[in-house]
Amino acid sequence: MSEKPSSSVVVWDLFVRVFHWSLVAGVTVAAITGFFVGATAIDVHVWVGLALFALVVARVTWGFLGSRFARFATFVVGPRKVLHHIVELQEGTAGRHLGHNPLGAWMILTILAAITFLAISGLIVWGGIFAHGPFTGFYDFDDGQPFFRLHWWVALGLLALVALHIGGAIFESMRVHENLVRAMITGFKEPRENDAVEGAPEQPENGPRPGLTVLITLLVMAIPIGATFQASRIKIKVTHRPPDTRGTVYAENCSDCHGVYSPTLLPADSWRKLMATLDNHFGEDASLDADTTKQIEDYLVAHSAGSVETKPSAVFTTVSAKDPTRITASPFWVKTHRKIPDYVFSAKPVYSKGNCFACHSDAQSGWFYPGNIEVPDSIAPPKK
Amino acid sequence: MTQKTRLILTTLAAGAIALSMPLGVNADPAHDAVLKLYGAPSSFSAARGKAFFLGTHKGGKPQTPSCTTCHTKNPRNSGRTRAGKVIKPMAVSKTPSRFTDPKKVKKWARRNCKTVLGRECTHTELGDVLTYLGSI
Repeated sequence: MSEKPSSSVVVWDLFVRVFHWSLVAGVTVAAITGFFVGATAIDVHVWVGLALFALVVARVTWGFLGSRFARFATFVVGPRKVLHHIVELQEGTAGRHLGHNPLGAWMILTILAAITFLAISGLIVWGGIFAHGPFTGFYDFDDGQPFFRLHWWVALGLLALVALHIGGAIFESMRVHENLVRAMITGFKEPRENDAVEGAPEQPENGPRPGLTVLITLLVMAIPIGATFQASRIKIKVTHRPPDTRGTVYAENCSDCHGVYSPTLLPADSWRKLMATLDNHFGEDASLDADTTKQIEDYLVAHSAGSVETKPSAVFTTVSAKDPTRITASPFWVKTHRKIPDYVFSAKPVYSKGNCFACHSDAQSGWFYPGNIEVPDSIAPPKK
Repeated sequence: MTQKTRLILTTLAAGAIALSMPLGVNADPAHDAVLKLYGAPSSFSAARGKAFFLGTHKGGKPQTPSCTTCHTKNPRNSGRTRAGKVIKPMAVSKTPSRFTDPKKVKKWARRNCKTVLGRECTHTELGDVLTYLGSI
């Protein structure tokens, strides 16, 4: 900042700069948690996503109430002017912009739109697939699926936009011989005689309104965040949630040896096979009298995988062909637990792969929300 | 036999009887009733029951060769099922409700004998084990 020429002016106000670099940090965290860490980082991902959405809301508001170069009116231009700018770039006659150039303007709008879409589709996925957040109960697992795919593709698209944006900033820095990255850090740029002007040239009369911008942002964000905290009170339709096993004959008999697995974790055929072979139940005789066996089987079959619109119920409809009664042999289980070393399963207090309850605090409910996974602290790798 | 020797022997005999009193004798009549399902309580032996409980058996499922696989070698301690659930101590002194419900006893005797031995246990084996677990 000490290097700034005396003629430099603040082009990017404090809000724009903080916004820009917060967005960089937020998108980075969201991309890492979303693409690489996966489901176990769901809570971080969602809250970073909501923070990014808040930044977007604030930026859009600032686009109407902010300082001169932050206002959309000073830099957003129609398609004809954008095309004209591209033609000029090709001809080498394009001017230098003190604020955003027409291509940069549309990059900003596209990124803001992409993040808005990611926030909304993300909340629908969170509600539909994971039964959390403002859309809980309004969308089920099936509804959430297409939004999950869209969310993924748009997120990939956002990363492509970021790459284009970085490329554009480098290109423009070289073309007009100024360090645009530094300008976004310091805020200062030097006005030049032949600067091209696209939109409204001067600071509008109703000067920057930071207080109002913050107020509007808070009011808008109160909707999704408030709804998220209210979501736990929403009564989810019976067909959209796992059955409550408490007090059932199933729970009463089977919980002597193991935790009460949600009936939604195996399809009907697997439950029938399992109940027909209780005398050799995973290496133990767990036989029951015929009446009780029938009662339990009927209950399990009625609430088996596929019977409700939850994620576990949907993914556990596919079982292992070799071992169709073993939940921990099903493809989804194997895939989602593949990175967990064997010693975690054999260590106290887990003891076996079948003890879902040791790490999934909501296992008995049948939800298996990824944010509810916590491997006990006491488990450490075996000493060599 | 001198007076003194007789006194010592009597004392020893009384002590032995007193020490053996808890063996096979249980305060809870429900426990006695369950034990009687398998025969006369006096015909059972806690020592045989202990050997059976701690012993390694053949014919059952390979993962569970002994009662101690799940119940541990000390019946006064909590055990653990292979799926990780805690089993309350088998010793009646630690879990007084043990062996008071005939339905439950029969159910678990059938299951666990088949699991460990691959067959149902004899009445003598069960009576012995119940006597052992009632005695410690």
